[in-house]
Amino acid sequence: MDPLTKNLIVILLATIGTFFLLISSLGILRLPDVFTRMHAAGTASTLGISCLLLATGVYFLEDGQMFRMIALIILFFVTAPIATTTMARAAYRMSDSDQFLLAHDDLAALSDQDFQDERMSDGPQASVQ
Amino acid sequence: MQRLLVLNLFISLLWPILNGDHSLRALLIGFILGFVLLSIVQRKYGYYTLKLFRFTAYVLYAILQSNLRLAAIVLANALRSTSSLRPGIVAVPLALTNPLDITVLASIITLTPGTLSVDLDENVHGHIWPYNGSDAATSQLSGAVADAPSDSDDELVEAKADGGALQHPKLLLVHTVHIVEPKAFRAEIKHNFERPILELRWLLEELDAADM
Repeated sequence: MDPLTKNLIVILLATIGTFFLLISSLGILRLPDVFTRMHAAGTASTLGISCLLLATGVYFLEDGQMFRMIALIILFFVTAPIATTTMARAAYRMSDSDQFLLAHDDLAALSDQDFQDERMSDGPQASVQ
Repeated sequence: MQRLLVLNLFISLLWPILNGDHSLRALLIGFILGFVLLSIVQRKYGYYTLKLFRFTAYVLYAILQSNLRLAAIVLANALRSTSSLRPGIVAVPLALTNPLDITVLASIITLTPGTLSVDLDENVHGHIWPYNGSDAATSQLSGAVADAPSDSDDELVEAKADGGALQHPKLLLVHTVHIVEPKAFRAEIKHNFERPILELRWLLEELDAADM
């Protein structure tokens, strides 16, 4: 590939990646509660990191690094949401829901204390409150 | 499905060996050749793979789109002192029953910024219910979930007709950064992401049945 176009592509991808990382760190600083901050962190992980990895792959295209970067992105896409979901669940269960900014909450009805007690005493696999 | 995939990989390995061209490109050509051959023999295999690719492309597009939307929301909120967000947790009743399908759906929801799957409630109706036998818990719950299954009646009926396994839907609890109307949000998730996964699962079962 023509080195000029290659460099242009690298610069473009890296700029987009860094821009989204910047946005996500802004979001983590400025958004009101745990969940909304997690959304901001998600932006970084998906678009930001993918763009940076793709930029690396294009830069080292002759060494065949593109496949490794694509493999990394796929691994990231498979593992990251599971960790995020686990963290979100832990956050909800560890704190009172009045710590969150929630305009609509279906989970509150489900994790009602009485209902939860009933579950604990009768359930074969009691869920952690 | 597994048998066809192994055959496809076998053909894609055979092509470079017979050609004497041991490069990644030859492997790829072999794979495409094997895919075309197998699609002619088993029409559903090609259809399934194409559908899978189309869904993956759609998910990537949705991720890109919601990334831009979330970036706008974050910028708007970072620059102002007061927040105008209306975040909320919405229970989405699932028509999916396979654990892998549910994992995929939850992961896709988390991957698209702006929505985040928080919890999967499967005990509510399914496992604990028959054990305690009391109506208190169910009546308490029915108030919370009453409106949830109602907007998905057609899918429930379909799922029942399909296997009869789905008596009580599992609930996936999704946190969304800005909620306008819970019902519309539920319908959006079900139509955009759950429906294709369900269709892929049906197609896979048909394929396995035809393959036997």
